[in-house]
Amino acid sequence: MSCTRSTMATVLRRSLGLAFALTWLAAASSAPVDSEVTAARSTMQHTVDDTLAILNDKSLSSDVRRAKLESIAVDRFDFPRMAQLVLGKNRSSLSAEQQQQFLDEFKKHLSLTYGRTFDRYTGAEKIELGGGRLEGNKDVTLRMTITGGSAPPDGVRIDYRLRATESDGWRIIDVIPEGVSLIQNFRSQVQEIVTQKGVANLIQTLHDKNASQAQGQARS
Amino acid sequence: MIPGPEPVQVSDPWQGFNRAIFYFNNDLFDGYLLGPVAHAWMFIAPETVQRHIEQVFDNLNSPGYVIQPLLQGDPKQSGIALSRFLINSTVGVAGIFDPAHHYLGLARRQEDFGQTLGVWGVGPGPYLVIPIILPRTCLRDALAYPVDWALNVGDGGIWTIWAPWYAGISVSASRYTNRRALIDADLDAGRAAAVDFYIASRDAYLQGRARDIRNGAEAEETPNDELYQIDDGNSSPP
Repeated sequence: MSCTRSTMATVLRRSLGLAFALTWLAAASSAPVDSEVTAARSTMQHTVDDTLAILNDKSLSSDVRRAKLESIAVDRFDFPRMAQLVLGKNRSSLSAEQQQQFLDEFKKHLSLTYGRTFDRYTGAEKIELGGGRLEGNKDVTLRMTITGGSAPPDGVRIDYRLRATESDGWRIIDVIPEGVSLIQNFRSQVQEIVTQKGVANLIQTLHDKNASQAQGQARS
Repeated sequence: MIPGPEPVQVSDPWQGFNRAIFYFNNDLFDGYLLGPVAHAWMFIAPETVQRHIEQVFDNLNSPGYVIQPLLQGDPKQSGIALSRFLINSTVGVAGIFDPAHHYLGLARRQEDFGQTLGVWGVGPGPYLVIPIILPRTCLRDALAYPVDWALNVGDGGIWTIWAPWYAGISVSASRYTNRRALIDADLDAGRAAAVDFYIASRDAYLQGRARDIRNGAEAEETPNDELYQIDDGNSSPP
């Protein structure tokens, strides 16, 4: 009897211990997933809210609006990292000075093209930030859908990939509209231009492109 | 059943030919004919009208949208496409409206034989640019095109076998122009954003096709983590 009782107590203790250990393990592995996605999502939600506030503020002149949007972009996109990702293995063939030049031109290029997309905003769009996914390398990919207004009837899906930084929290490192990664798209262009025409040509082409676009923007 | 992401390496052995045709399609044909005609059409028809026209043609693609998912082992999607066709052809007045999506949440999904081959494991093969008909394609999708020509009735032209040739050409040209009008803003944005538009459009096509073939399988939705590794220049390529 006492023997049985002690056995039972052992079993009970062990199973309790096991249950505890399992719970702890489960918590340890699942909690960070949720907290990382939640943190990235809340950063992204702020970005969306701030952007919409600017877009919906009719009192702003178009120049002021453009400048404000650009400052949000500089703040929330990790341009230096994006430039590194776009260069990929070609980065080693650029001098430090060329890398800086590329970063400057790339940043300008993204600001110009990113700014243009807002010209289509009508105010009737519904922007919804959906769920997120923790990637193998601890990045977080968030899903955004835009419906109504200038969006096509089936809506537009844009995924954003964010990476945690030590000083600035979560920052966007890729934009993936309808499954087409911007980083991947630029990387294949860079790869092509560098192999066929060289690094100097890449920086020059980007520079010329920016100059003509900035001119076009000033005209409009 | 769900294939992994397609390799990042792009096969483009016919780039010289492709770039020449791309120049014809993009700079000459679109620059001097299609673009101006599409702009004139945009001036006449509001975007809503363009969208409803597009929906009518898309509804005619239903044979392909119903059959391809079956070949891909996805009877549920096939059922959705069939329901969409039955509802939108009747309640939606020959596909002008899309009540199946608006009221029943049955979203449109475009399917073609190229995607089916992709699901079966056939890679894209060399990238290919064909004058006017297939401005962006790959060997796999070009070889699949005759099947889509027959099944995706709105996109293809099987009905032109019975129609007089001028009717066939007029309808195809109208459809082509209407589609061009609908992507006008995207095309402008793409041209502005590209450093090398040929490469940008090739990459967007291949990435987009890979995504269509995955059919939104969530885990494979974005390119693999390898793309997001900072290359410090020390690691030598394999």
